[in-house]
Amino acid sequence: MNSKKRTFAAVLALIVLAGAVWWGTARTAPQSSGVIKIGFIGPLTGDAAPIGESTRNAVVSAIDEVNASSTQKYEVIYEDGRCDGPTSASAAQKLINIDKVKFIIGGICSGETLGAAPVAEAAHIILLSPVSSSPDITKAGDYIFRTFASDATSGQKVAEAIWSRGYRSIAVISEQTDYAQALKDIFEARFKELGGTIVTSEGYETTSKDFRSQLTKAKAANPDALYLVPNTSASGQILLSQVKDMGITTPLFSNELVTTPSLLTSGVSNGVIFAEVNFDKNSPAAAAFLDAYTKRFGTMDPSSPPIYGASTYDSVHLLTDLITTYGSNPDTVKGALYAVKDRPGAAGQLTIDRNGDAVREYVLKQVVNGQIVPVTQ
Amino acid sequence: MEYIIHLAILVSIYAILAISLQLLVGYTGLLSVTHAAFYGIGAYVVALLLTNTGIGFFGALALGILGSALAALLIGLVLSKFRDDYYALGSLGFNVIVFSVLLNWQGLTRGPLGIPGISRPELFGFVFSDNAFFLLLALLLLAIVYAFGRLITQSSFGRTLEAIREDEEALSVFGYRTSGFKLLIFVLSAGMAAVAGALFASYITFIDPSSFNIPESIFMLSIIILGGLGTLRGAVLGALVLVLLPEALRFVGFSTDIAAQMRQLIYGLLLVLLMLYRPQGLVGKFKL
Amino acid sequence: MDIVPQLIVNSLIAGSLYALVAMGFNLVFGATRFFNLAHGVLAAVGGYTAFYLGSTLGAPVWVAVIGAVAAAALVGYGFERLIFRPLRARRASNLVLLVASLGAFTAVEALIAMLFTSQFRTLAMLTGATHIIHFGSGVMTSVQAIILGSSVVVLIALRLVLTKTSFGRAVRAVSDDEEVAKIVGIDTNSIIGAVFIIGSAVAGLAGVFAGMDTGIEPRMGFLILLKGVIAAIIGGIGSVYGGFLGAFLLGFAENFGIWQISGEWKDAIAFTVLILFLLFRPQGILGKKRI
Repeated sequence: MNSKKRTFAAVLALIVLAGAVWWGTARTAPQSSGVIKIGFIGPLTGDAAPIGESTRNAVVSAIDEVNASSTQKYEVIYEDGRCDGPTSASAAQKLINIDKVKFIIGGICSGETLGAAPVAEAAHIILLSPVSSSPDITKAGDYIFRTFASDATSGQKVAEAIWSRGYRSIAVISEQTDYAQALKDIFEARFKELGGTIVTSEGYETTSKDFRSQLTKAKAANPDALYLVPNTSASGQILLSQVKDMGITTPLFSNELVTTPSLLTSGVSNGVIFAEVNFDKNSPAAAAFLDAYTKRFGTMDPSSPPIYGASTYDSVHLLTDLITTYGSNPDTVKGALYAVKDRPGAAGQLTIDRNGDAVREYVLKQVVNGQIVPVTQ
Repeated sequence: MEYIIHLAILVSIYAILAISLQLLVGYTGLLSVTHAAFYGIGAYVVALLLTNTGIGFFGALALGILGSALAALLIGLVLSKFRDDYYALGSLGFNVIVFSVLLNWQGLTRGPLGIPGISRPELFGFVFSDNAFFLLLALLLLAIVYAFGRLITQSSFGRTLEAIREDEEALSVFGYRTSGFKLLIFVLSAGMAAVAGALFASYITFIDPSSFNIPESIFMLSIIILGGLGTLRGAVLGALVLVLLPEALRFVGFSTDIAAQMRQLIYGLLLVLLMLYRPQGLVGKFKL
Repeated sequence: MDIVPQLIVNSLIAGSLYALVAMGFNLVFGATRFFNLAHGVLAAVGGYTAFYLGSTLGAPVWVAVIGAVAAAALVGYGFERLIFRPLRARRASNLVLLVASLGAFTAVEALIAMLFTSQFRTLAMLTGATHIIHFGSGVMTSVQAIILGSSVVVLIALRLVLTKTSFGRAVRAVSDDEEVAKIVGIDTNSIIGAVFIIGSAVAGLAGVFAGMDTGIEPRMGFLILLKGVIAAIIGGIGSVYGGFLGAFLLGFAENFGIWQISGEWKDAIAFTVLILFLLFRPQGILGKKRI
């Protein structure tokens, strides 16, 4: 092929692609008047896809309820953030600049929220994350909110619970992800502050499925208790079953991932004590949400903690309530979000502080025979 | 318009990566699967300097290039002993090791927490906070990298590299120390990848190790293989096509969970079909 | 408590899975002389077939395992017929074959994710309740013991086939020099096809076992492949026996490597071992010996 032909082919490819993008842009351009568009960013594919799926379904349930009861109609545009910063930033750019949304629910993973935050902040668009818990989000920006508590609370709560039970030496095993590492750091800092010792702190790569040697080291260190910090239900399940296989009988502490139905039914999480937002599956609001969800989508994916769905559902109701009341100007809604106090919801009472963080009450719970029961501090 | 600018910035970043990788793979015939490591080292050096010191973007960029080139020197010393598929596997190993360091050396890199709040470039008091200006900067750096790439390929050094690709044995018979040439192009290529890393870090303003693992290296390889090996223009064309393809898929109306898998499926099939029917890529000169 | 017996058991467990992948990989490499990266995805094909048969159709465990092995063999043979044989006929370089196999890998992995979603699943319905076996102060589950035993059985079976049968002699002839094999009248294409079927079947078995031990997800193939390839190279590329030895060496290196340093460095250790071997003993533990 001579060079003229080659240049021609290159130019042709360019034009075709530009055309494809333009065509896509043009297609989404027509605005249906009166309907307010909201963006959603979550991990619709990849390892965290089950959580992306269940939170998206929660958005669908909430929006349908809102549209059935309110005169103001809403439409949600769903984008994949693949649980990482760059993809999520790209999705936020698309939502803000092509779809012209003024409000975004998301990200779900902390990395997504941190990736999308600068984009939303610069454009003065509200970003409301229902699930992200990274402490970094606290200072991510003025337009960045969340209805989930920072890891700080959960890590401290468990550290204090372990201390008050008289355990003084702890082995920690944590997944190498943003969420798990932030939680682990806060836990370890608080536990040392109380006077306890961390006898060993082992990590595992998120792709790994063999934690036996980490557990062997933890077992050999002979701790009073074990603190496990998985990032997904899958790794939590493997980790806990390997704990059982290796005959480790020390008391176990972990995070809310042990409440996923797949772990509860398999029985591996029996006995584990964890801290969770004061979320009661049987409260009227939560039961109503879970009913609506199940009717529409069937059983929630067993590897997604129900609290994630409930918090997302609450976020949609919160945001649409405020927009319906105060209009669709992000700055007005922003002011109203900072004023949220003791708002009831499926995930419990919500107050938003001056950093845009949710203030949630954390409580200790234990898995007993596949059931979640509250325990004392 | 903002969205188009955003895409253009992404294309520029990947075009820089593709050009630098092209020098290695397309011109020298070294199938390197570790390019994301140097992209990552550049991004991390710049991000750490911008968030922890008062040094400006351009100073950080220079140090990022240096850091990446130094890492490449160490890695390249080992790699230049290999050839062909062993080179590919050895380089893949280094990508995993660099990724592990970025992920696990939490004291320095904050590990999986990533580095948020990286500032935008600033020059004489002017901040490139507007994406249109950032695009200009990205295009300027792309042009510099492209010109540098041309300089290399048209020099006698570049011809030696192509000779290594065609017949390394023969060249060493003529007394050329081929491993020295392989090392030099590896270091230069890594330095160029760091430019892309710097742009990426200050554009997205948040980085974490997941952007610099093997799948990213494989993606860069797909770009130059699609575009065509042995031409710089092919590298730019490949970047254009493969960066815009998934964005175009966003609009086609597949359900979102299918769309991302569809993209992977298309990449995979594209690679197979190219190897079967057009191993020189869209506009390439050289077949693997 | 002494930590060493348990670390030895852990190394054996890890090594036995790597061995199943590495032996199949080396068998194929021995006959074709290229790095078939698509080998990894066959493990995922096996795992998901077993899941589909066992969970969706409720088949008993032996049906699920045989089905999984057959499916992996079929897909592997499909790769050979549709992609690799045409490329070989054109005398494509090793790198072209490697890139094509990477493409095949990516495409099939995406296809599995589309069919079954990316969700993590267990094959617990096939294994039922496992019990614990003690080796001194080390423990392993019954499933892991079966995996370990199977890796030895597969090794012995492959060695017998390769050394005692005429088919094995043909494979070795192709492995030594495909051109010469052709000249002496061996139908090299059908020999290579058969090698793909056997190697892929073993990879499928590895996928089922990995699923029974922990669980399955679409990207499992990539992780299994990386470790399998390292094992194959450090053992002696192209040699079934070498793949077996390399796998256990890798298992021991990883699990004893994190005795003193923290567990998150496991992958880095594995690849450091690979690079050390490439540098100082590129022919692997076994050296030039084949099969």
